[in-house]
Amino acid sequence: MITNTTSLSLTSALMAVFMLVSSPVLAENPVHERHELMESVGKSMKAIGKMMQDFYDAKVAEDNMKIINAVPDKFKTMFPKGSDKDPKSAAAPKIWTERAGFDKILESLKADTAAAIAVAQKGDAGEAEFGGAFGKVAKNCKSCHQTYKLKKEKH
Amino acid sequence: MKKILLSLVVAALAGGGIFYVLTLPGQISVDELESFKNLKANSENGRYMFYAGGCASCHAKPAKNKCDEPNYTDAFDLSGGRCLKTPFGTFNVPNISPNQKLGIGSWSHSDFILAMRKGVSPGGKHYYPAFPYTSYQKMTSQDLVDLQAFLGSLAPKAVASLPHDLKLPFRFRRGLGLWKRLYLASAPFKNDPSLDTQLNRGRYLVEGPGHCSECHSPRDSFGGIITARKFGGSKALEGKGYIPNLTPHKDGIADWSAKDIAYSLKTGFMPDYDSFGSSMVKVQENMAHLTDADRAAIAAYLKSLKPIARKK
Repeated sequence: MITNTTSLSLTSALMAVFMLVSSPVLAENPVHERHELMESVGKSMKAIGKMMQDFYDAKVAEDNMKIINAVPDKFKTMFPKGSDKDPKSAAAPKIWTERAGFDKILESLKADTAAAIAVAQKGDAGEAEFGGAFGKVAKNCKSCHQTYKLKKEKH
Repeated sequence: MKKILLSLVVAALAGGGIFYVLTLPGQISVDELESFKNLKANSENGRYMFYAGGCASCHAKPAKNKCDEPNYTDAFDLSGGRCLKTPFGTFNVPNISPNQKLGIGSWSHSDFILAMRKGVSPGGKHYYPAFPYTSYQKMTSQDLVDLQAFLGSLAPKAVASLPHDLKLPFRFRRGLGLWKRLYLASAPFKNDPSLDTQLNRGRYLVEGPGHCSECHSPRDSFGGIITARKFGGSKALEGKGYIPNLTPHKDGIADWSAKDIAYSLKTGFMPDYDSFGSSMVKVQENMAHLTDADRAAIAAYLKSLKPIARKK
């Protein structure tokens, strides 16, 4: 019979193992994390882009803008020193040498997504306004990729 | 001994003579010039060609005075000043604003056509192929005349161009005469009768003004495009990174529909909604000024290219 205490200690042992395994992965593979996060942004942008070519749906707009809005804070911490050396990394060296400009774009992305969320929360009434808000968000993608992302073949 | 010396001198003179002849800067024929005289310049079409040709990508004054960044705030400020750092050395992009002394304001039609078709300056010197005359050479006479008229309508800028800073063998411009014999087509570009109107238009925009192959193809050690791998992607010559394969191979754009290509050129979003980066940002912004029909033609032509695997 497994007692509550044993199952508890088993769980904590498993947790400890999991943390041992997973934390170095997080710390040592920021490149993978960055790619995953950027792909999630792509998915959300795609959902919004398709929606806008189809029928306006404020809920799709809001939900996806919220996902992107959470990105800048996470992204800021994902560029530890040396993580530009990974051959899979598309991060340009300027992220490390000209950090202020990079952070500024992330802040602008946060502000522009927040503004787009506010428009989306107006429901159908926000439809006409949302296109412009989406455009402002998209500009951040471009300006960041222009300076801070290397030309790269997809893997 | 004297005989050997003499024959060496003769050989050197003959060699020099051959080099001299082989590297003579090209000229525009009298007939070609005559054909230009009857053309009436249309500055609006010139503006369109300015976008199709991406002149600003290199010649616009760089933003924040950072010469190695592919960014500018005013596409119509053509003072130059961008620097292209390549394995051959650094190319400093010149002023092409209509300033009479420091830009190209004093250029005649034939000066402009000589530069765009033969890569030769009004003073009779070879231009380096960092200026993509290998592609611009394919532009129609009408489009060239229109483009010159549009450039002439912009604000003159009193900014002196910087000399290039190149590595040794490449410093000798005269040698470019040989380069051009190898890599610059001498025949005029013509529509391909086997292609329909849309594909011919796409081919013209891609191969001519758009000069897509100049970045998207690998080059040999002399800096000439490797024809068999044209459009197949390349390690970036300028800056860092890898420039993607534009052919419909699985390494390239096989899974992009023609609609995806046209949409990406209009909006900057690729099919997975990743957005274009680096120097492609400004290229796309220029392409966004073209008509939907022209973007569709570009897309159709790219989809018709022979699939080439990316070079590992």
